[in-house]
Amino acid sequence: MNHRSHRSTGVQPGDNHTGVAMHPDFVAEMVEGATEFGPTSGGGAELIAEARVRAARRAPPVGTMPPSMPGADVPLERLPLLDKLGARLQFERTGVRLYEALLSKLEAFGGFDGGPSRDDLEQIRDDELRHFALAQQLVVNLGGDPTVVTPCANLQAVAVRGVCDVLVDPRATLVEGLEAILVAELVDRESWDHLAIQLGLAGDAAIEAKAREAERTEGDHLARVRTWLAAADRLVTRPLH
Amino acid sequence: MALRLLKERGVPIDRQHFNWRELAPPTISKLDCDAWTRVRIILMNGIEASSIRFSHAAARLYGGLQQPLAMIRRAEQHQQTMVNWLLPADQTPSETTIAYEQVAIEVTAALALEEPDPYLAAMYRFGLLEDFDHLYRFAAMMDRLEGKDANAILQGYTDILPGRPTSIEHRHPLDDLRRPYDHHRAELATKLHALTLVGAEQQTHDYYMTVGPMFADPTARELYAEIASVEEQHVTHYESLCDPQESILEKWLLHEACEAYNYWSCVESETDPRVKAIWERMLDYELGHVHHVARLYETHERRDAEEIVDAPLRQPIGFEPHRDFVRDVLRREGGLAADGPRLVDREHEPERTRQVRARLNAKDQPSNVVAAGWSWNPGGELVRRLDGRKAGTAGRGGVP
Repeated sequence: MNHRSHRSTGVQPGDNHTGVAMHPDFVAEMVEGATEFGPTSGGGAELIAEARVRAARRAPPVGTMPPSMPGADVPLERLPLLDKLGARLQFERTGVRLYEALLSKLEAFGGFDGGPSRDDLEQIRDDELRHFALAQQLVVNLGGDPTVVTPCANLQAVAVRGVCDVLVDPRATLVEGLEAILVAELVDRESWDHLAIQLGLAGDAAIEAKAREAERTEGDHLARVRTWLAAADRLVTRPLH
Repeated sequence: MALRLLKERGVPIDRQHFNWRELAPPTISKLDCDAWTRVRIILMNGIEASSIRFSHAAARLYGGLQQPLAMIRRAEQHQQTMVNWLLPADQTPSETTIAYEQVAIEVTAALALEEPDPYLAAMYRFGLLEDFDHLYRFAAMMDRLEGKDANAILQGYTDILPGRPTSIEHRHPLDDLRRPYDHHRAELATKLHALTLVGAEQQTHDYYMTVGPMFADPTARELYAEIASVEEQHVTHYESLCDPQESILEKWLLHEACEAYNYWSCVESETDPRVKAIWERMLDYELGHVHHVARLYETHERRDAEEIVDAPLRQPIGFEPHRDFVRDVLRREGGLAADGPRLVDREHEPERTRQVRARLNAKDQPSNVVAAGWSWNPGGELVRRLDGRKAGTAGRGGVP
């Protein structure tokens, strides 16, 4: 049963030291120092951009797809699909772990009015597990190796690695965990949609339908997370005037 | 109150125990902690790492000491863990880098002010201006890569200004070797100051060597490579100030004394009660180590350990801003260079150093690229862009 927990929903007043207002005299001295001791090299941020362009032009790819499965020649035209399917496979596997971590938040901090129940989170966790199984099966059906970390899987994991960092940080609350998982759900829904479009272009209606179904389920997850966050906002927001 | 290392008994090593939960304690808050608490944590991690490094080297050279070295080293390992694990996971490598440079600047400045030997004090001021510049370069990197203001870590205690430009800090190895103190005549404080800076700088070097490859941006990767190279120079610089004539047991005793001195300094200044309790416990453990090694010293060398570590330590390390001191040193000594163990005006630095530097800087000068035209202002460079002002123009001229 849900019970309200202040730590689940509210940000606390405390002793944040990061702003300049804590030390106005220091800041004035620092700004004055920057006038006396100016930069030692001319130019601007464009030099970093130029270095990026120079390096990108000579950089190899982040990684490649495996040459072929033993005993199964994978046509080259399937590789982009296998790359994206590999990303969904990895993302869903991570997704199960993210919801396991979110369940710990619920247990630690308690729920809030309009927030998720344990059943809600367990159901989504189980959906993620089913999507993992689906992606695994689709990879195999297309002749791929479901244990391969594809380039897209790798970069998508890099792009959202902070989500896991938030969810397993003992100090982050349930609502902060929901804010983090919103990022994952936005990416996941969009990625299934993108994959379904790709499968449609590839002319495989049966697989496209499965991807579309997963996209709809992820859309439902996204809507539920948004609803819980809106409920949390209502609990803590008061009129400014 | 002064610290008398042999008067305080501390905790004997057979009573120095930990469990895993203690070794991974609740962290400090990156947002709420006072910057000096973070400075002390990073410093003490470096001091512990230095002792462990020394202990392993000693064990490889002196078989007869392997057992006591192993006993104390295990405690040091766990002490280092407990201290370093106070840092939170949301403190990113670039933010931790900013904090490492704050340690380097403020601790070096504090020790330079307290150092009784004028030659060593000059060497500390020389190194100080280089770490001061590293902070400026890394702050520019953090602003331009991540859109973050380094002052959220520094909390206004430390200036973000160019020092001796990093691109001219690269020297021939022989121009990083200094003249050591004489262990027969040097004060205990002198020896402990030098060991403190060796530990702090080596940990800084090791940290940059660990996190440098974690950055994707090409300039950031080059910047970490460049500054890690200078940190290696600094380890050479500070290490060569320690008298190589000290026996292995004398050096070991000084390492333990150095740890106790540093923990005592932390106890004297800590404002976070939970962290202060850790410093107090660690100080007691280190005093136990001092006594253990003192007995070994007396047994093996048939000399009195009081000759080495009995002088009272009156002044703890001052964890406080040194803004005026650092700026004064920058104005007066920014133009210095090294010719072997001597400091000289830059125009007199040896040709060997010029050649080394020219080769390293031949293709890129990442420390100049990252901070080109960059000056600190509250909230970062983009605030200035919003204000409609042109961000930075060359101030003190180009770099050779």
